[in-house]
Amino acid sequence: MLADLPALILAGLASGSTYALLALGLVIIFRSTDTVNFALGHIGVLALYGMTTALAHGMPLVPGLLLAVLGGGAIGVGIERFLIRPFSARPNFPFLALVVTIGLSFLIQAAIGAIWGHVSVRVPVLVVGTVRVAGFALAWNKLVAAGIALAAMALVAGFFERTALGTSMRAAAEDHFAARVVGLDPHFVARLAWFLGCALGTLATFFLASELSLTASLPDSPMFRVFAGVFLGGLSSMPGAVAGGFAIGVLDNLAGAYVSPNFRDTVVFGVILLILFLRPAGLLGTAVRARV
Amino acid sequence: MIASRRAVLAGLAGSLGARAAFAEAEKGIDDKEIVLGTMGGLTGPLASDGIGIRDGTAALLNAVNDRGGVAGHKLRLVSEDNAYSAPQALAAVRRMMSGNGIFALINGHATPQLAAVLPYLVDQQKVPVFGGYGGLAEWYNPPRPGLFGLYPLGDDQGRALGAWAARDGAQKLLVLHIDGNVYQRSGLVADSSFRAAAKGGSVELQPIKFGTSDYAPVAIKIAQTRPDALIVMLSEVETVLLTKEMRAQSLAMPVYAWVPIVTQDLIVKGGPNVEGLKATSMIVAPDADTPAVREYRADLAKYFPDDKPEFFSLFGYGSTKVFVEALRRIGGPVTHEALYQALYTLKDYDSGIFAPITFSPEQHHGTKGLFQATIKDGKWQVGSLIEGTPA
Repeated sequence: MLADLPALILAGLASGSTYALLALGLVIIFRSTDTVNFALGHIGVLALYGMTTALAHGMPLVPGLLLAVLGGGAIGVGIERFLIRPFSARPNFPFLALVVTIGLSFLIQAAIGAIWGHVSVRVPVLVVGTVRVAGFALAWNKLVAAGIALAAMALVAGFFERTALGTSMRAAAEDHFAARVVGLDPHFVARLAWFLGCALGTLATFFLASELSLTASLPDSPMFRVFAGVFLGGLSSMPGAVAGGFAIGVLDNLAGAYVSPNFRDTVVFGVILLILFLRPAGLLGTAVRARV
Repeated sequence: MIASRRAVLAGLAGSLGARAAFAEAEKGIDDKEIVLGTMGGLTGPLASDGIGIRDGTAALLNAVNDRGGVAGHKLRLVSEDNAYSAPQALAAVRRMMSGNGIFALINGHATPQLAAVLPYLVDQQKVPVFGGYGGLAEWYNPPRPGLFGLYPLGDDQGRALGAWAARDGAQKLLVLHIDGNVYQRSGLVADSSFRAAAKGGSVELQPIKFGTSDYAPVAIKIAQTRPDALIVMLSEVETVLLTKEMRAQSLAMPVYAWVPIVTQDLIVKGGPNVEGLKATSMIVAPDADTPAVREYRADLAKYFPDDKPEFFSLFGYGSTKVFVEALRRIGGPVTHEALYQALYTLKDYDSGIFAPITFSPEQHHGTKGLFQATIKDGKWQVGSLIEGTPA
């Protein structure tokens, strides 16, 4: 049984890469605008439906995907401007924003149904074929997703740590008022965060769709695990969210193989509960103290 | 004066009589029209299923109306969206029952939603429920007044799949089923059916959590167990993911699956991974070259030109055809009781879509017959009835 361990971990990391990308998108938006974007996956699905229309008209996959990723980011900017920002001055803003994004996820599903119908659309994989690692066949498409998730994490980390704009965004996330006093435009920061977050969400949703086919409700089940990964790693930590996403994929596989395919969620969420009990801010998150 | 009193009394008696008749009259019917309700997930995760069933139902009713109606009545369909949610299903049928109500609910989609509405509709409102897309054995044993079904029961599917795998020569079987008592029971029936047919054969049951998205551990389990064949009682998406992982791991063995995955979507989602998959089907193929299915395709094209022929609309069309046949057999006034008696006259009724159908006071589930379906060259090929399944 233990001979399968490397294969299970690798397969789990590969599956966890889409969770990690979505988790990274969620945390970027949350850290910059205090919004838990429940509609992140559905924004990606909307952009990808646009991509499938473009593909059906002869556009090659890679430019189509790039357009979808940019389109997902642009949709995010529009949502921030017209649906989130109007509530930003309200005292209970984080809750309002959460409710807005939950409602938005349903609206997007209805819109997709009205425009494209309620049928599944097959999405081609970016890279065809499998590679055998530790005696187990892994899809190249999943490995590419894992590579992109890691690269995205490195790029985002570099952006936030090493560029003036990234530093500004972190400052704005810490204190909007102080950021404005020193000349930072919090609206620009919010736009950029929503663009980056939704673009990453679209990319992740592409990998999900190429595994499962594209439907309006595609992100419903994965988002459940993404939130688990985010809270496991820490809602305030980008590396933590990515690590949490990967960890969910691995835990899921280990539980499925060594406990039972029937108790995967039970084991995964049992472990998360235990970790959160010991570290309420998540593995890499930092506790936030609020003045009352 | 006396004549006037008599007239008043006669009028009063007439009025009371009319009121009594009105009080006893069944909802959803007058001398011109029978109102039928249907509900399904028209939005939400299974919208394509619900829309297909509704369109097939409406296509048959439109065709019947254009040919003059049935039993002296035109048929009107009231359709409600339950969004594949049980609470919304109950709200939907309550809306249908407000005002003039419905005479019967036909082709409701799906099992959890039907389970939610049966106590209100069948037990409380005494409204018949016919031909739901889903069902449980306990709904029909003992027969429940007003509830009639065609959708194959899990036990019958398990029995057919076990016997089929054994007949194909398997000796070692792995049954993957959704976790839960209902599905486990179907798996156990497959187990006993297989053991009975493949003398000396061995079976292992493996429950899988509903919604599982990574099938790598299951593939490893299959590689370790090395069964001759798999029986798969999972959802459509999960079956796609399983077959994809099996193909990636070069695990080649016959896979036998159940009715819920016999859809066009399975082929769209599964592509080459589901090629060769075998399954039980409750209906013939939507592209079959038979008079009944040609008629279905013509009616669907006429009333829903944007719809392509597929299993869900064919189910809705076929189930409605059986219901209309019962209405046609009513000799006198159309009442619920007359409908039940007419349904009981269906003995080995050949709809051309389902296996032969029989209803009786003791049997409210109309057929146990299942067809064998196989995916070949990217298409469902639906063959003859599975040997050993009672028609």
